Amino acid sequence: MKRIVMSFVLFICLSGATGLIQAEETAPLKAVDISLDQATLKQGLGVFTDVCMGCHSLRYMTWKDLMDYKEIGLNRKAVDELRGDAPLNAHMMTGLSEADAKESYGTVPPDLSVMARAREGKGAYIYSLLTGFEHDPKGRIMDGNYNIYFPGHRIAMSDPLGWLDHDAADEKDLKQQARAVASFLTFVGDPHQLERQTIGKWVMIFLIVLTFVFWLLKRAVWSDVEH
Amino acid sequence: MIKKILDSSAAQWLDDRTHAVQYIRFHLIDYPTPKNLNYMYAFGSIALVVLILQVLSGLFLAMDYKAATLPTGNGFSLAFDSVERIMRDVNYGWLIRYMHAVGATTFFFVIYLHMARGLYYGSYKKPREFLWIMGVMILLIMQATVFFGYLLPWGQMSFWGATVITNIFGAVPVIGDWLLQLVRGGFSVGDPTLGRFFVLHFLTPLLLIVVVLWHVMALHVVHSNNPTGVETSKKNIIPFHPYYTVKDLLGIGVFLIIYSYFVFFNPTGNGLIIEVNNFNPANPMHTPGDISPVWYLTPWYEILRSVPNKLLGIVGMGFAYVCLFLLPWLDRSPVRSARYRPVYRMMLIVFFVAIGTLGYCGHHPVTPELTLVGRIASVFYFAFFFLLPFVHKFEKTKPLPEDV
Amino acid sequence: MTDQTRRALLYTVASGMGAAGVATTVVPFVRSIQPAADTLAAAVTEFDVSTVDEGMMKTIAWRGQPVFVLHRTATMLKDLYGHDELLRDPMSRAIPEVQADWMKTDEQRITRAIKPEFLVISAVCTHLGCIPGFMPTEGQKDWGDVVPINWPGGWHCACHGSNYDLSGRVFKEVPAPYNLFMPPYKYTNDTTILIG
Repeated sequence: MKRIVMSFVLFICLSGATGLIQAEETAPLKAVDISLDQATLKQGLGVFTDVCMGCHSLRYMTWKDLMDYKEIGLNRKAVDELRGDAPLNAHMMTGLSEADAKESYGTVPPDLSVMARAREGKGAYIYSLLTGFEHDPKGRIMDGNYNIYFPGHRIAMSDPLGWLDHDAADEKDLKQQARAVASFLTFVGDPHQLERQTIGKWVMIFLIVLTFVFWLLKRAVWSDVEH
Repeated sequence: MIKKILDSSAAQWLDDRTHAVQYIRFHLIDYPTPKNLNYMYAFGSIALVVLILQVLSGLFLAMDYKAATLPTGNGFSLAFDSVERIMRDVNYGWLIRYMHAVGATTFFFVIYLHMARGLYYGSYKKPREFLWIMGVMILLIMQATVFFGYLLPWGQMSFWGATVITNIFGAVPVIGDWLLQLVRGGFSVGDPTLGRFFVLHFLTPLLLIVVVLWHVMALHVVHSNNPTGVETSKKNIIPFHPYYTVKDLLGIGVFLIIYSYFVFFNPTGNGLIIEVNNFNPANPMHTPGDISPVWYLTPWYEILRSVPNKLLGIVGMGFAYVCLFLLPWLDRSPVRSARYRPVYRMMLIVFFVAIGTLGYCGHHPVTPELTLVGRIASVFYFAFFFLLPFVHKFEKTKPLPEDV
Repeated sequence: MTDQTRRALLYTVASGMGAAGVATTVVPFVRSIQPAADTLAAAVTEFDVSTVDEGMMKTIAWRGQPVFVLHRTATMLKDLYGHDELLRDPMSRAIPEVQADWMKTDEQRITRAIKPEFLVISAVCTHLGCIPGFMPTEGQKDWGDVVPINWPGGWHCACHGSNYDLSGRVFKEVPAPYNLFMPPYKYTNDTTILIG
């Protein structure tokens, strides 16, 4: 019997290795400390509305959500400043139309609501991408469109944070901005994740106690059976 | 408490008219069981719990899900949007959706362990042949169900998974194209496909419930096998309740701990439960780089992929299932349990490793090495069934115990 | 403790905890079929009352149900007085739903509006939820005998014959039990109301 269990364990381990094998030629992603505390999320939101939202939307987030999700917890005044004329219930959509985007960039910028979940590496991918602009060593791809983390290295989005040739003094600040955006998008991708983990802890504690009681019960019931 | 309820006059009234209490007594209380069943025998009850969780969570998801590919801008669709609405706006929608997604995966995990136990202790042998066949039917229905369900979020993996698998029908000679269009309701996977898959995702679980109930009733006719595989004498028989109700409850408790861990702390299972690519809305114009079915379908998918001929690959995959159905008659040894069958036990371990390897290969992009490994594993898979009819001729079984 | 009592105790604890666990699991499922966040967020309606001409009525949607916005003329306002004996609840006191925080004076309880000329009132008949028809003129000449002979103008529900006056106050001897409900609303500027 033990061997059966072992073979299944082996099977799971093999399957678990899935994420480790990547045939992409892109650079391995930079590690980043994603943190979903309010300060980081608010900073990420700020960078998002100032920079990203020029082209990208969050179709699954409304302005009202910025108040309703306590993790972000903006007050009404701050939301009113951000949303401008847009209704409170409107989704956070960019002003750039799809037609204009196609003309300027040749492609429609993807929506970022679930982007942090839709790429291998998740938040680390976003962080790496934002800090991955370099000069093309072969000189074929224009500065600002060469990104070592993007498949094929040619990316239509041109260096949003101004990473390329940044001053050494700005490095810390730019990295923090990229980290904040990555954290913000990680939150937006699954906005109930913190609530989920909080509830999860109680569920686990309950189930462990319950299972312990079941174990005691099983022992008590089986005490009169010789086996 | 339970005794009091069953002895009550209300229960008696009901029983006089429906035999409901007799059924409960027969199936859940008095059912005679060998006393030496180990924890591997809890997976049947656990699977029943998962089935109930799946049906419940599925019903509630269906209330808010919308089966339509209507574009809603920037590549998104009504179906994808409705899933994200469940995840964000519906109260505890995230919980119910993750329960359903994690439940689907764990269902297969539990069923595979349940089947492995049946294989190891020879529970498919006479008089339990049909019990095993119903079990394989349950597996097939589950695989169909999960395949239909996986299309519903209308993500990239949904779309391309359905495209690849429905193409299997296209390989049938002569009527292939006709069959393919019949399944898809069009020339490619699209809105009509989504609509029918949603309905089928409702229909197959109904079928599943019926076959599962039949499976349980049949079990209670032929009775449980046990780890020794020998017939149990009367003195070693104990009633199902309270002994196995509490033992199964313990198993269910442990299961729920693992299940809840995934639901609350790792609902995508690092891509094994919900794949990263499925967070991208379906795009019929672009296939993602690595597409493969979810892990619990990959062993059979890999057999299909191992054969360098479309039609023969499908025949091979079909044959892999046929072998499972024929198993009770392929094995001719009079001894049931692998505990007393050294050769069978070795074969079985190789068989399990082969399935695991097939699953691993099927989950990864095609490379020459993996194709070779997959082919070898396929050979081992079939070798198990081809050797089985001859094993008893040379296998020296260990002496069987008199009783459990 | 004997084996028997120990076992009985464990049974009780296990089934109690199990039942509590199942009951707790039911909560999120029930919550999931209550109105979702986006449904609740959409439960607010903004409306500019100056778009309704004098003497006219508009029907707007709030929470998927109609709300009447009636721009009453001076005559209509005057006609609200003098038929109290026909009404079931002339001062709108029966239940909280027919009242509002801002109803302080008797006049406000009769006109049932923050600005007397603009009546904002739920269009759902308090009997069984039909939408009453608008019959603003007095007497039977425009409406026939579906309305009483001394009709002061108001709403008549065709489903079961309930009548309301131009403040949405219900008549006696009709099936509807209450005055038309008062939706929660406020003025965000001179002419814009926010319902909900």
